[in-house]
Amino acid sequence: MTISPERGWHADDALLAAYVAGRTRPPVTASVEMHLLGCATCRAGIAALVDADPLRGVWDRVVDEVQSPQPGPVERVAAHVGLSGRDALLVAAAPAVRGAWLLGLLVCLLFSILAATQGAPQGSTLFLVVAPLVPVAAVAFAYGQDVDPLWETTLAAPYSPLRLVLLRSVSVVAVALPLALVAAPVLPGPPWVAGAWLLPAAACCALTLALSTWVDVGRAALGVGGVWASAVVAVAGPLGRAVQVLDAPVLPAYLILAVAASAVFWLRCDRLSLLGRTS
Amino acid sequence: MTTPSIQLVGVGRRYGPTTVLDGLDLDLTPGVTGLLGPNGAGKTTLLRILSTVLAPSSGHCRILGFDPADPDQRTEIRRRLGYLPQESGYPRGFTAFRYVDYVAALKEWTERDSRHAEVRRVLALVGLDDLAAKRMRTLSGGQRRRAALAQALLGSPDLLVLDEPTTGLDPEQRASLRGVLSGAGHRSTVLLATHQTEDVAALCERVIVLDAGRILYDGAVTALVGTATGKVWHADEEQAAALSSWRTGTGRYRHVALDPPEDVELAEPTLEDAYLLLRAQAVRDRAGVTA
Repeated sequence: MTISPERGWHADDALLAAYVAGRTRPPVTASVEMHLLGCATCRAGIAALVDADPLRGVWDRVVDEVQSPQPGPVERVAAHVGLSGRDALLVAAAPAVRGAWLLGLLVCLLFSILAATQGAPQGSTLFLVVAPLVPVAAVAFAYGQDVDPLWETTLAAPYSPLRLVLLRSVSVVAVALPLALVAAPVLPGPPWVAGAWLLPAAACCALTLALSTWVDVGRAALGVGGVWASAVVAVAGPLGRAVQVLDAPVLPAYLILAVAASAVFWLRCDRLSLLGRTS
Repeated sequence: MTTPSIQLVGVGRRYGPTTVLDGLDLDLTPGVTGLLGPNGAGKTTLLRILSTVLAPSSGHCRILGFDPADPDQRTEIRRRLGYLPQESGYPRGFTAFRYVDYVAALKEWTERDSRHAEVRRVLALVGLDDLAAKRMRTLSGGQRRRAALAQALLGSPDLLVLDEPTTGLDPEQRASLRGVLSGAGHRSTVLLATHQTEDVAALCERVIVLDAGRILYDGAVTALVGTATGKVWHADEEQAAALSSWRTGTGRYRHVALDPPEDVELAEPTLEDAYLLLRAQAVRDRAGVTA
């Protein structure tokens, strides 16, 4: 410690070094800290003794904690089921996992299930129209220029659009599908209906993905949805026997369609990485 | 001689029956190049082709030594690319930090701490470090544009393609941005499409003027400005024959014309004057060809 005529005393280098190293006793530590508050000379002296890098690291972590957003529920769930933090972030940004859209989808599905459980033939028709199209709608709102405001920026990045499209589609379908599966057993009709509708759902999804390599995914989904709804209504006829769309002889056709459409999608998936589909 | 980082040979793009780009031949080398042209000239289409998000209908491209028609090589280009689209949206609820962080994740920054450090770096570059935690929708148009520019600067890319980066920025922000872009131009190829001729004059050595899908001018900014020498003048009265004419703050009129009258008080031309004259000459040439 050195005594200065104008400020009383200054902490010498040895004392400051001991303080920085945490080797001073508590009363001395308190005294040095009080002194540093009022003495610019000693503050300058101690600055030279402190290693800036650890401080910068601490400060960066503080700033990061303040600025970086906390993961939302979708991101946390995605990370919990095994996606990397980066993939979870990219999935959570999909328009289809926004609360309002997802809620609307689930409410729509719930109403169709309720209608079906009332026993009226039209109820079954409604369910068979809506349920397979839920995953199609999920795919339609998972990617593309019309629904993702960052799509053009996304395409200019090296991340695989195929991976992004599949991750998002599977994630949204995974959210929407359990409700339909839980409700399906209470539907009227043969027990296998509860699971059989998944085959046309898979075919519709694969067709939407395949068509999205030619046209915008929204148009692809509208086209597939329109054809499916028309087919169910036409088969149902006035007697409401929509369940015929799930007759055993038809089911393999859905499987073949799903496989063929998936193959087309795989072969043409490079088109997803471009705006427009003309290349 | 510097190897071109971008080479276009006969590149064209059609949308249905409409030709937007018509057989462009173009070489670009490192530095800042300005791209001027009226609305509908094909600027955005050209930038989309250079940023690999759009395929040309005809011709060949070589970008940073890679062929964008090949999927693997296209990915290599994208690893070295920063792109600011003309209209850059953002998901609802995103903060400035999250927005840039999201793009960083797309750009293969997998490790969270280094990614966040890079996000902070580019936000500081565009002067948004204090607003990083603000939601995008609460930011002004200029601040959102700067956030969009920040994502393009991630990773100090070799090729920076910017579509109207100064839209909505105030004079101080534009001046600050010029510093950032001129710095980037020392090590990268920067192509800047804009309607702000003063930005091109302040930043670029080279300017390309597009008109109706064709290159109208490609050369030094100073040479283009030089073409307007003797065609800009001051007068006390408005002159109907002038191509462009307006009353300045001094109360006198500034005129620009392809065929100025004799014995006038000539004025120092600007890049904007030269651009207007170039366009007027193109219109006259087209009319002559049609006649």
